[in-house]
Amino acid sequence: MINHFALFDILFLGQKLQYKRDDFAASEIQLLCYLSCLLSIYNGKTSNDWGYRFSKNESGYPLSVDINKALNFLLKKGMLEGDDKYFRIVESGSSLHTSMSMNSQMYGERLENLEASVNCTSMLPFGAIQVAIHNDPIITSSKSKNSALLLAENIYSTSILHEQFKDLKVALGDQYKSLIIPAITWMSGNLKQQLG
Amino acid sequence: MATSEEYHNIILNLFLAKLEKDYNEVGVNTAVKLADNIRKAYKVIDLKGFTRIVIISPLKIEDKILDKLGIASEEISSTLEKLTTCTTDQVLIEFSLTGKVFLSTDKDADISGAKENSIIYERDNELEYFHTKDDRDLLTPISGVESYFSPSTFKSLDEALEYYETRFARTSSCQILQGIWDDDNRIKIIAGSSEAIMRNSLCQFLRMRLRDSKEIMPEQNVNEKNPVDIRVTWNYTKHVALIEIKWLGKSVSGTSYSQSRALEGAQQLAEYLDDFANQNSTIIPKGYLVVFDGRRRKVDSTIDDLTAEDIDYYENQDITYNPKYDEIRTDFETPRRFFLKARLTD
Repeated sequence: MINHFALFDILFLGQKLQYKRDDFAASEIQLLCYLSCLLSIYNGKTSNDWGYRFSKNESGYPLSVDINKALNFLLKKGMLEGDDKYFRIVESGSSLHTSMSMNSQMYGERLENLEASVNCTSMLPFGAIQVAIHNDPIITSSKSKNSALLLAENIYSTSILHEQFKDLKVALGDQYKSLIIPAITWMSGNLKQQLG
Repeated sequence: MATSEEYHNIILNLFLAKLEKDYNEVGVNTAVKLADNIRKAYKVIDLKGFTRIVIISPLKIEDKILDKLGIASEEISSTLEKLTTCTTDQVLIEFSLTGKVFLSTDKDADISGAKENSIIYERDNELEYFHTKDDRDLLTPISGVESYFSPSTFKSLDEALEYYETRFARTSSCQILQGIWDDDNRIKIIAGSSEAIMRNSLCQFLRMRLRDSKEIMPEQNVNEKNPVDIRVTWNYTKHVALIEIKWLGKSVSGTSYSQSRALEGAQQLAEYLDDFANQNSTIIPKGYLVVFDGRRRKVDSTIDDLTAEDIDYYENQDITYNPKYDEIRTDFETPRRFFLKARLTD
């Protein structure tokens, strides 16, 4: 069974990424989907609302099995092309995305998060985004824990994330509407280095 | 974990936050589009050829900023081919919201009048700024990239190392790598931690620029003797790269390393690869020996007594390895020598 939210997110992010930087790798999609999910949590949602889950790969970094399954599905259906590492979405994939986008009730709410995360790749080197996410206290603290899931509501590391986002909201106040601002601020905080 | 106060300080310095304050959300959205266009421009030009680059995008679709300011410009193709043949070291580019691109080479152009109606990016002597209504805001430099908008990322480690050599190591233009020199002329190396600085410089560059890498980790244990300098792993593959770093030259404390140091490094790497293969039968390692070569002839002379021939003497003197591990083993890449150029004047 293919997770339709994962399918939608790949098609949305993939098209934007190939416009910005020619093609994309599965790991780049995984990272931006995770960042998008974090931003939805910042916006007051829970990880359950996101539609698919993230676990840890063997290095402790976020990985969604649903994203991998959806990527394989798109490849099998010929909606993605490329070698075994870097992909591009072809016309049939774009058409699927257009038709899915018409269901704004289903996907409309996640667009802001996806858009903000992919816009971070315009404003920052991709490597800086990756290092910032990998330096996140949730990732670093969960590396030593047995739990395979990331962002589940009942685990300690998620409560740290909520604390972080509370502090971030206090610092931002009500002044900013663009979601990319808390995104980059949070990443700068993880790196202990000003980005931008 | 950052505190609320730390977040507050980050926001105070974040140019996107300043743009939203000055221009509302449209300012941020225009900056994102502008950033994509900057990256597109940087794909076709060599940044080293320019001392100043200004790139503008109007906030309103109907505006053409350069016309409004009375700055002479020509419309160029959106492929930006024209930029490759630019003969000046200063350019002003406007990306209109309709997709048209205009180029001006007017060195005296005053862009201050554009601040009300456009988002302005400026690269001035290697530093980058976004203009706000009252000021120009410096983007805090990130080590490992020449620009926030560098288009060059690499799908292979070989390509990345080649780029690092020519753009960063050769002229020590990496901020981190500059720290290995005891003097501005780059003649002698500091006492102590120079190898760690070289490792950090290369590690940071690879983290910023190598695509699809899972982890790029410094000082990873392979055997009980010494850790290998950098280990690179990739997603969805069983390949791992082990990078061993050595330096040649003379330090201010008197430590001096010649060709034999590189040979030691090759042997050390071969042993790491053997140990790694014995411990990890399912992972495929590849060894990379990277030699930072800071050798100079007559290194103990004063700078006034050194000639161009002295400082470049070793530039083309390749190292002869014996044994040639890259020819007798399949897991050993051809060793790379990064010659670190000195300079006679400050």
